[in-house]
Amino acid sequence: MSHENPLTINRIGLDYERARVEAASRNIAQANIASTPGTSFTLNQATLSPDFRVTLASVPAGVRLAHEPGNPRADSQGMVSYPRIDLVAEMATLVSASRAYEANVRAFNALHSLQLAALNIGGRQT
Amino acid sequence: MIEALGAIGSEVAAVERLPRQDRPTTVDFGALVGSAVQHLNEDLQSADRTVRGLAAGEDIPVHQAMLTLEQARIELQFAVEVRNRLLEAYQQLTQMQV
Repeated sequence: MSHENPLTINRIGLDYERARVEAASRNIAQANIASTPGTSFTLNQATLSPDFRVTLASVPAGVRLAHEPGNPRADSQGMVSYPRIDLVAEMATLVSASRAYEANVRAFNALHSLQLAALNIGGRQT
Repeated sequence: MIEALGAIGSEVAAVERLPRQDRPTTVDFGALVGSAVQHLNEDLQSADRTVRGLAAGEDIPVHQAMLTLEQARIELQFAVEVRNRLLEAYQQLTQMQV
């Protein structure tokens, strides 16, 4: 795949921003799921490799312990663990990624109308 | 008439002295149009496949489908413009008073 083609560059941008939104949504979705203490959690993170491949990577997440004796997953001390997820940071990622996605769409539209205009070169003026 | 063409003889000789990659090469025009149409057809088919996949519920990002569609649209528009220019030139030739 050629990275010189502006359409390809745009597609990579759209793919990446979509992956960021997806990662943030997954993190938000698992933020309040309790587990028995001792289980490990992973955070999702979108990564862009040097050869412009977009992947969703899993990075280890911290643990937040809470005292909830009523929870069926609580251990003998009544503790459950939650993944340590910074909801504020995830929301910021969500907003910035969706704005960047829109910016990519704008850039594509600009390029697209340039190409359509170029097809009118030398055309009969109607 | 032929003598008049002799004036470009030196130009032809100059072209032949050029290194090989700088020489204008002759291309079969029919083959050129044929390969362009083939390319257009592949793009249209790939757009068609993407939209079918999306409709069938495959995990294709929507922007992927839209980009493929727009690419196919530009290719088609380009082909139509080329056809318009060719047809125009042909008509000008056929209407030429001899």
